Amino acid sequence: MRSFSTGFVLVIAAIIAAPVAVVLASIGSDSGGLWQHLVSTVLPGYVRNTVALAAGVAALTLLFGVSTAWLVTVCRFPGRNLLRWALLLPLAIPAYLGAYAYTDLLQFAGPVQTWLREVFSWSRGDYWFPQVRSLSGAIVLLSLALYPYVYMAARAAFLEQSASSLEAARTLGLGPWGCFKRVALPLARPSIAAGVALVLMETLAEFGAVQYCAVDTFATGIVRTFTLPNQYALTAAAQLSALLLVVVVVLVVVETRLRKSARFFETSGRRRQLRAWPLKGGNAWLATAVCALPVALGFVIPTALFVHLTIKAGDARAREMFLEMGRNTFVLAGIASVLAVLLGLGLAFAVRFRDTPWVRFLIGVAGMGYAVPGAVLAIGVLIVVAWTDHRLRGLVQSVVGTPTGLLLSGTAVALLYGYQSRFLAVSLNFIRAGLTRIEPSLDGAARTLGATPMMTLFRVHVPMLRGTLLAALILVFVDVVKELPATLMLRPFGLETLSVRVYQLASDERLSEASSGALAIILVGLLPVIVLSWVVDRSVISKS
Amino acid sequence: MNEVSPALVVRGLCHQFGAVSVLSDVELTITATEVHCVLGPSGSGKSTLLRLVAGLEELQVGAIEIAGQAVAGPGIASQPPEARPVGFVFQDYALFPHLNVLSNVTFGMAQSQRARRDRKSRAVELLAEVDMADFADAMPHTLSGGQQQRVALARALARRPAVMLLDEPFSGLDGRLRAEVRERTVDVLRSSGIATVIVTHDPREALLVGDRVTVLDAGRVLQTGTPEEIYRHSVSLEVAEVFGSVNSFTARVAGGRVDLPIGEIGTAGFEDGAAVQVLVRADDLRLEEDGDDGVIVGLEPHQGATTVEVELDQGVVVRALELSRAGWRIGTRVGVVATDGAAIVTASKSNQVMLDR
Repeated sequence: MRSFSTGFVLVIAAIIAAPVAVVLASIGSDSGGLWQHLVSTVLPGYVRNTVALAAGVAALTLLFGVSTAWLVTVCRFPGRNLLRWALLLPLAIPAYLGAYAYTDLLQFAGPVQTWLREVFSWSRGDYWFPQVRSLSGAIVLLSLALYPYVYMAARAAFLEQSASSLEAARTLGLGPWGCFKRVALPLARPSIAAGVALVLMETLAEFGAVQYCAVDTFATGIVRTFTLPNQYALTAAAQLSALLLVVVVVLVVVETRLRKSARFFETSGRRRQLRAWPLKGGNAWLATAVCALPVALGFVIPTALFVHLTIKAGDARAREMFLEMGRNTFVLAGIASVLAVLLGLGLAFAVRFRDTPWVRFLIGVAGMGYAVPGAVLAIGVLIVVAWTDHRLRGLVQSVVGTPTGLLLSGTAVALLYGYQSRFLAVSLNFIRAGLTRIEPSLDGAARTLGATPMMTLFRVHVPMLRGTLLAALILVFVDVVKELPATLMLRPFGLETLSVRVYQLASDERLSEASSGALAIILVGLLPVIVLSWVVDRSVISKS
Repeated sequence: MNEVSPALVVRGLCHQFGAVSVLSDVELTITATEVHCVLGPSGSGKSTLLRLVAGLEELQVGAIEIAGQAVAGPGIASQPPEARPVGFVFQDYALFPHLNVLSNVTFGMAQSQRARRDRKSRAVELLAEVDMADFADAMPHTLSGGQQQRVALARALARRPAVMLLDEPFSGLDGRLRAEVRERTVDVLRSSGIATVIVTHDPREALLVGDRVTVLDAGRVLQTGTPEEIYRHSVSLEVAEVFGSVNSFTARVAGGRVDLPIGEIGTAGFEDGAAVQVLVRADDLRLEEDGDDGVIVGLEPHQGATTVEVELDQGVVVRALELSRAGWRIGTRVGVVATDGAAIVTASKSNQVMLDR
């Protein structure tokens, strides 16, 4: 069992990590001067933009996430129960959809500026108006899409702090603000930092929204370099990616460390529910406004726009196409998510049985794809799959005697491989967190009652993890539905999914046609929001 | 009676966690139907011993035999826990939270051997034995600690193990409930006739419950014996002190006895000139109001008794446990007499003879 565990982890981790490794391995290769050219021309800009974007998004998500989490957790004000989970809603909207929506709303010919001009009888040039397609626009859009990560982390941390430590603080004379500053925030800091680390990874990986906002970051630069008409384009793109990966690795390590000290899902001991602080009058409504703002900007307004556009115009070929794209998307995401849960369960269980530094390292490697920009990963997958096809062809020829075509390249297998490489981490982390909630003595009990390790897995762990497994399944499913660059680059010729269709229509400035697809993505994206709000509450409140 | 192989034999067991040795050279033999208590402070390695027997911990050095079958040892493929005929009751009971009480109890019953209905009726029988028949459909989290403990017991018994292993089974309970549950548990175990090892840190519990007791400290077996032997004939000061305050003296045997500040004590079995250590429990020292051996220097009242510290004229301070509430006062002179036959005489470890206390 032990050597089996290590072997299993080794093989899976190697396969999952191969695309990233291939990209990293490109560092030393010759790029025919292209790399030097990039360094002297565009690289400083990429670095500047990426750093500015990351810093801005981190600051804004902290502001939105922590303030709202604290308010809904410890204060009572109108709409608190609704906002508590509504604050997760923006998760349903990928940043690129937000970018399409706000560009449409806020552009010169859009409803907002038109209305302003009519009301104040301004004309072009009379007034200043913020540009959506700019660095600051991208910062705001990404923050609105990503703050829920910080919100969830902070809220889970606040919920987990025992009510008694806050009550003790109050008996020692601290008011709400003092409790927050001197007790709650220091206790929650590791969790919040872990949430921010997640946000930063997403920011570095974001392609669609940043591209649409015309901000040159590493992610867009990599794709642009890749498409250069130069024989060294792939190498140079891979080298750019490798540089980005170094930053990502640092973030992953930091996040892992922090999570270890934060213990997101620790539920030992009995905790009383925090008694909420009633806010009065203006303060109460101010709290409502603070919490409602990100929900309105991040979810309600874009969704309303897409609903409006769908009703008004919609995709001309909507009905028949939706059926086909919906089926494609559903089948792809279904297979990918089931696969991710099975592999994640296997890996998580292997660690439980054999927790050595080696195994932990391999698991860390297998979980890195999530932080890697989809475009980078796609390049890695293309290289690995092409290499494998080459080997397979040689093998088949030597056995059968006749050559075959490419078996994997350009098939759904390559796409599914890409999805596993990128999203396995989601299910793996979720399942591992779930497993830590199961006392080791339960394993011992099952074993001394005659169950083998496999039986223990299926009779104890799987039934106990049912909710967690379902949640992991849904999260991966939705991530696949939303995933844009990897799908774009790896899909078999002619295969259309919702995200690809929406991207293509939006790129052609045919937003009203894209609206129905966008709406469908949002609807599917609502599923994990429901799951997550349930998980956060349940992991803290329900006890066995 | 015909020869029955012991339920459990542990030989030369050593175990380390990293560089820390938790068990060294542990020997243990549990006869069939015996209830055996392993007594030791936390960190003495007693839980590790149980886990090794159950196979939850990989054996490093030594050999383990259960019901005449070698389950782990040199040259033997170590049997996994599921293959060993043991029942284990965990300190936190470890009931499966996703299964109700009945399903917890049937969990370990062989799937193939028994029809579903048979399994159920056997489980109900077991639950009735631990007075939990009414809770068959309850979920574990709705039960109190004592109830969970009883379900865990029934669940472990369901496989009819050769040895039952209980890891601090009563430590999660308090006060009267603890005594009740303990009594009931031991009754059930005794009537089942299954050899049992109970690990505990409570000396009184060990003496009360065990047919025999093994005293463990820092991974070593200090003594194994009946409660009477352990208490009355402790092999060392360390063992004696586990059960309360002890006065210790060292002296040289002369004429079959030693002369101590508390009087003369017989030392049968020791040659003249041998250095011996004499242990007298505080509750075996009696104070006499009209005596004149020393002066009271300290009083330490506890429930129903008082520990009185007396400084003898030779300069030694002894402790005596007095049940009477007689007006002992600091500064009073009293006589000190040891109860006949209560002194424990052991060979002195150091050859140097001096008054310890």
